Amino acid sequence: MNKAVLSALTAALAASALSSAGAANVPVKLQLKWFPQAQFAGFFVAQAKGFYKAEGLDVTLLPIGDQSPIQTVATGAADFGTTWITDLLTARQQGLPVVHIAQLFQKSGYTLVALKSSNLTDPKQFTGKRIGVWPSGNEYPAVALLKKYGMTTSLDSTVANPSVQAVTYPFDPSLVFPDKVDLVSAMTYNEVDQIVGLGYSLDKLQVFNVSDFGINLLEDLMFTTQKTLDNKNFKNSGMSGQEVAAKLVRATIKGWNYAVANQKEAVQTVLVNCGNTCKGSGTRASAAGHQTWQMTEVAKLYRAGQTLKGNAGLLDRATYAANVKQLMDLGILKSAPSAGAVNYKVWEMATGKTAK
Amino acid sequence: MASRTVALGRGRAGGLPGLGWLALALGLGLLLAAVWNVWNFPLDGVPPGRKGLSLTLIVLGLASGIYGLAILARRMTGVVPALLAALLTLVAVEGLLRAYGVPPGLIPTPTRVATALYNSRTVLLGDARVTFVQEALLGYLAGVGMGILVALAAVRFPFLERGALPYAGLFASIPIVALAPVIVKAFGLEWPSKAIIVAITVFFPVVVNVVRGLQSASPLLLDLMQTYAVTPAASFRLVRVPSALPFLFNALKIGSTLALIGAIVGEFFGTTGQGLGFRIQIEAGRFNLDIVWAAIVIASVLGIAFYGVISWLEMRFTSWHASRRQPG
Repeated sequence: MNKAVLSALTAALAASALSSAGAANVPVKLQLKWFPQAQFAGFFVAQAKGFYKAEGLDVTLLPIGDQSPIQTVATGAADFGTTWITDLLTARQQGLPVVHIAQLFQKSGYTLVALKSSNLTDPKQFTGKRIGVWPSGNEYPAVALLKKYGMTTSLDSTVANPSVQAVTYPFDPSLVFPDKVDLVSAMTYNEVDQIVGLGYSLDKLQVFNVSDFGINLLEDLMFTTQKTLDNKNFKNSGMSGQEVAAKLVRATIKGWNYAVANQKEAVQTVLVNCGNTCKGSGTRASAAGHQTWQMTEVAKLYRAGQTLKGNAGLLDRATYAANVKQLMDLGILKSAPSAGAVNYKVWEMATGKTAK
Repeated sequence: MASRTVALGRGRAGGLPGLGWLALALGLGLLLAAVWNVWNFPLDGVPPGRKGLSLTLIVLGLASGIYGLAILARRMTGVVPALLAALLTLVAVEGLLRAYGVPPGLIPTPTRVATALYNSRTVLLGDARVTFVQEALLGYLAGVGMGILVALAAVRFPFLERGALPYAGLFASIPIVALAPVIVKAFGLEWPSKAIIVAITVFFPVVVNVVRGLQSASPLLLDLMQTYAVTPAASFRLVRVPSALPFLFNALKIGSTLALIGAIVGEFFGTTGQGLGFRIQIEAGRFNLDIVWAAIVIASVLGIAFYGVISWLEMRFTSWHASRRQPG
């Protein structure tokens, strides 16, 4: 009798052990586009607040390395990634089967910054100027703006006598601005504040938001590969790749909504995750100060477009179509991306809404 | 000369040359058929049957081609067998990449690379001019010149040799990747910063080798000069310089490869929009790997040519040296 009870107990224990093993969190690697900073606040908040754990995911956020996020995801070193839309679509054009699953930033934060004393007020005046850009696919917004105004750069491998000299440098604007270039690339949420820190206050700067000139190429988005989405049993979790993607997107949107609603707390969470890379420069070197600026600016990019309609994470179809048309008009894309470039089902599964 | 007669002797014992050419042509034909069979399909749209057929053709073609090449290589010297081997490999790679539908954003096929090489030739040649002539060559000449001067001083003044030369050895082992960002930041993004990187990397091997070379002069010969009452300057010219030449050329050859590496890597840390390293970096970020490979091809050709010129100079100036003499 006792024996029977015991064995029943052990069986129950074993069963519960098994079931908890089955419910062990699914390991997911997510490649960020840059070093840890408030640009990725939503991801860090989702992790710190346990939103990923609640979805049964064990998410590792990978800082950028030598390779672009597209490369790490396409080769399987990461399962998901964040990148910009031009990067994704050009990679697809080159045969890499990457798929857009969620759009976090609804608006472009890319700017070109000049000193007011340079008297540049219109992109038409950029001919013959030197423009500082970041390589590795981050140069497209500048290229698009210049192409729109009929200018060419040395970034184009088919143009022998470019009308604008592009200068590449490793991301820190102080390396080139204002001595070596007339205009320098700057994200509203990062380098603009760094330039201010160098001693050029905003009233001394002429900031060209490329989105004001009709170049609104979407930035931070989430993507994965078609292979991951098609996977019926993602890493033996019993879940399909699409389900895992939906859980990841759901928790990430939750993290972002929390981060933009509680910006101070979000900045604290980010600061725990970053070392030197969170610092500003010069007079605005304090990491806390710089990340507070970044959080404010990033929140503006998140709280726009579809987010305002209650559809955070949704890629706006009209904006996407406009982006594609623009990239094709400019010759950056040679043909329209196939319908598989964007997967709306993941967002629909994540939110329970219909992507209109 | 000697090696050529040996090769010919073996050739006579080998198979018929006609058979070699036949097997090679058959192999090449099979490989071309394999490529043609999967030529124009979307990446994920190669029918499995065609893929299988192409793979079979590639295996057969390679076997036949290598067999033919083996027969021919016994009869031929020079670069012809190497060129034929490259041709076989390239056609086989083209077939494999197309059969498996590898995205050109990961590995471009050889024909894509050739097309990119042709389409972007003006820009790539401009890049090559900046990287090779301005950065690598000028930096190289400056580094070599400085290296020789410092080596002469070190041999003349022993305190320099003992006090400074150990550091030259130490600095020579600094990896270029660690040096490049610092120099680019200090000297700006234009080509001079890369020329400086090149000069520094070339400088140290030259110093170390030339010093060792100048000191390798045989004491017997130096004594002989002294008995002839030759002036120290003439003795230096007649004995020390010739003994240093093989060492110098050794350093020059090491430097020729270091120079191109230094220039290209230096460009990864900032440029004014021209150069092979810049092109490789910017186009790799855009997944235009065909242009990246085209730039790599140009860099390799330049590197090999540079090395070749130095080897030729070495032949001319040190043909008397024991290592250059033909046996027998």
